[in-house]
Amino acid sequence: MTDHVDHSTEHAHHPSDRTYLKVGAALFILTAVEIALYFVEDMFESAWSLYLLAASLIILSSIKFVLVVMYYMHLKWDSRLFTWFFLAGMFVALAIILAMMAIYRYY
Amino acid sequence: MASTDHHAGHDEHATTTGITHNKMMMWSFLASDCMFFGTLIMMYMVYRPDMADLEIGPNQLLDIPFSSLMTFVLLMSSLAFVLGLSALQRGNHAGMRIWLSTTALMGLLFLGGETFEYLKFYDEGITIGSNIFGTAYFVTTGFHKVHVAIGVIWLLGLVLMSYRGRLGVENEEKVEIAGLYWHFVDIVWIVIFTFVFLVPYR
Repeated sequence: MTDHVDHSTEHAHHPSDRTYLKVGAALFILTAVEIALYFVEDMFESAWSLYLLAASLIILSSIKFVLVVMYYMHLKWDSRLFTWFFLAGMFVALAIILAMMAIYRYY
Repeated sequence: MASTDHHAGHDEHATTTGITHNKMMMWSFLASDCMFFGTLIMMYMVYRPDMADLEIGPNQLLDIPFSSLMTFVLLMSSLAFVLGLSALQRGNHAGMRIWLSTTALMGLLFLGGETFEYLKFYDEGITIGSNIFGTAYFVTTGFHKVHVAIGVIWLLGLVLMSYRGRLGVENEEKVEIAGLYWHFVDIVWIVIFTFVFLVPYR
């Protein structure tokens, strides 16, 4: 029983090559979908398809971003403190982006 | 006395949080780098609508199929890296060296491809000072390329250390920290590729 627990803990810290390959495949597929969407949108050239494309691209690339950070950068298994540090940086970055866009684009 | 010395040596890396300083330093750096690239990408997005009126701008110059290929190369380099880290954790040093060298090679391929893009832009008369597109594009992607170049040097350094027998399984954290940096460079490109290349602007 103890052996089993130890084994799963060890496994939790070092994801298997299989997991890495699966994430790699997901990243590849998501990028392919993004590019396909970009070219499909070209055929419509309407306002709604443009907004739909922008929204889908942002969602798909966010999934890619989270996959890399969680699996390749090990945040899924590592100390929560790292996640908070990174989220803090992301939050300030996003705040700067929104503030600057508001200042330069809309005022 | 001897016992105290031994104890001090053993706890050399012990911290109150149980997290090593090196890894903490890397995550702090990455958090700050988020802000750095955030402002650069923001700058591109703010000026992007004005670029539609340019005679030669992103609509004419950005080569989506080629950049997609480069994106693919960088994404797969991250996969090669984690496979290298995994090999080291299993004590497979030769495997680690092969995967890390592959990662560095893919990084170089990315740099070469992007330099080819730069030269193409230059031929069209677009430089860092020619118009707003040139400035925003070269500054944003240029800083990213500097990061990739530093990453390639770091990776090659690790491979060299491994050849000299100075990178054992006990040093896996050194490789992991280099990996954090490399994957960060990869996710920055995911964002740049989406907002600079793919997302349409009016």
